[in-house]
Amino acid sequence: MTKRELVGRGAKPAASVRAESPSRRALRRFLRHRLALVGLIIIVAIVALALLGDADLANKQNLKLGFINRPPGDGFLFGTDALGRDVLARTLVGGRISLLVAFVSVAIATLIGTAVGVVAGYMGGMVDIVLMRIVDIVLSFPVILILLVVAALVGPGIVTLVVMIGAVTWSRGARIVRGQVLTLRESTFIEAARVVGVADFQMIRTHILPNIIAPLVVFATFGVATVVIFEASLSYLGLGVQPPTPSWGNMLNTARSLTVLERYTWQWIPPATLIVLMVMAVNFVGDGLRDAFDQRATSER
Amino acid sequence: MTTFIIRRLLMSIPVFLGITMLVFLFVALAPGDASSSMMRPEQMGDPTIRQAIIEKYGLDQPIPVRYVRWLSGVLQGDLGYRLVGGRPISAEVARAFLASFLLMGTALVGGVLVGVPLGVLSAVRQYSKLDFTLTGITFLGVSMPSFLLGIGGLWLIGLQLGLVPIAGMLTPGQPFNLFDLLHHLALPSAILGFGFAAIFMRYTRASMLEIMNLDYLTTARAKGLPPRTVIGRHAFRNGMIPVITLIGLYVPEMIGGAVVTEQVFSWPGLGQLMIDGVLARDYFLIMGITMVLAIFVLLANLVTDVVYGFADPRIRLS
Repeated sequence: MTKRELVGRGAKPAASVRAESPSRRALRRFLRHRLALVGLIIIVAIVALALLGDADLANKQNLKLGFINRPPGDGFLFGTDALGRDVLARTLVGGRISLLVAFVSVAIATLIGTAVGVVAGYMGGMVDIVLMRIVDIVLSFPVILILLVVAALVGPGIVTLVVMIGAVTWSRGARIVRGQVLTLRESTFIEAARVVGVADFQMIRTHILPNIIAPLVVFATFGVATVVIFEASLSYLGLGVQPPTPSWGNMLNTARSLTVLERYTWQWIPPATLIVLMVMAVNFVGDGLRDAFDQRATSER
Repeated sequence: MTTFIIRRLLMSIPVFLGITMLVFLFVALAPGDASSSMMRPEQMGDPTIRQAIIEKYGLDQPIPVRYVRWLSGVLQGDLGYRLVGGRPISAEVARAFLASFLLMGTALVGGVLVGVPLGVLSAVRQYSKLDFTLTGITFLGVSMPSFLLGIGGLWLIGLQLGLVPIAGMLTPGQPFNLFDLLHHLALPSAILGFGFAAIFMRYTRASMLEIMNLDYLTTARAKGLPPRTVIGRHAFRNGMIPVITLIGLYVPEMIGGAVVTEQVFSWPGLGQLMIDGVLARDYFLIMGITMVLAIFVLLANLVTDVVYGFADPRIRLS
């Protein structure tokens, strides 16, 4: 038996772990997570491609015979759709819209979730009880259903989509944040700060918020994957992003016609593939981040 | 146990009332004039018809009064009438609920029966080839929205191979026939079930792995109990507790996924009815479906908690 094994697996790294800052440790762990890195590369590639998309080309119709529903080939790498538009360009520009919806609504959800969670956890008492009951109620509705109802009430569109997804997906975040704040509130350094007379707002800003960043980042990452799916689902039903603006979801909407589904596969396979790739990549990164931030997993595997 | 169930039931009453208020307010405060949405275009100029509608539905009453009237109707099973065709909404919702329940139930049972054992197996043989394969498939299942998988499945199995019917629950114009129903049910329930199985497998594996490192299992193994007993009795029971909670938490998401997947297969369930309601702006129909689903979610949570109480006696005592 070597000396190292006798010392035990946890003992030696523990000393070096203490020497580096938490964020550096998290970064180091993340970089070692191979799938997370692959995921990150895929995300960067998809975002870059989406930014490269040519919006004018994506909406350029060509109704001449031979340009409609043209299979992939010369001039049109991914073929054309029913209006003779370039499917490749629409896929790229559609990605831009889908990702925009995802990023903005996740930002909104994270903001609301943090605010509600911090207030509930920090104030406690009646405020906490009422806010958490509201969270319970919001969580007990299928999100898709709420989005459908809103689409019926105010009409579908990108702004409706972003605002509403943000407004209904914050509840899980609020629950996570509240849990964190509750634990933090009992910790000695917060008590010390309170004894010194730090005001509530200052306390939240300098002592609470920096300590809940890690779970928030994980929440937001997984949130992007969820929202990409929401956008795709709603637009597929025709109640999300409205044509002629392309999005991955509403490009799938054409596949509701059996003719398109069976004969014009090139029109729905690209957006479908990109949705799956994106969601998987984001989930990989989310897993990597969660492991990297995990306080319990101090032992090195 | 009885007191636990009763207490839990009482606790869900405020949540239920909160949901009804939210549903009602959502629709009551909707932009646009509710009476216009109930009139045919050619009646628009006729004030007597408008007045009749306003009086019939009590639209001139204050919102709290309207809420109480609507709620008392809901509690008696009266959800109002369809805008188009005028059939009672409760009957239509019940019919669609049955169809959805059949689809979701089959998928859920299949998902548990496949996902949980595979999750245990994957945990017991951690880092084996089988574990990697299963974890990989799980990842795909969790990342792939079921409606996308449905589109792919419909294309491959329904259209290319022609193995299953491509739409609906029964062949139209034929007398009811169980085989026909199962034939239609196979693909959509398999696809939904795959998604569920992936979720269950993932959580079962994680939970079992956590449990298997605990001291009491080392003790059990040291006592010389056969591995089958250690895993099957000692680890499995405790390992299932967090999985049960997660299943409960996932119910709304499962319903959401099923609503969209129903559309892919033109399954005549609540998803289809909901889209009809949304497109026709039939607010009473939308309210009815939302209520039914919300109650279903509440019940599911209740059942989860009760099962949880059975699995973990500590919960009941606290």
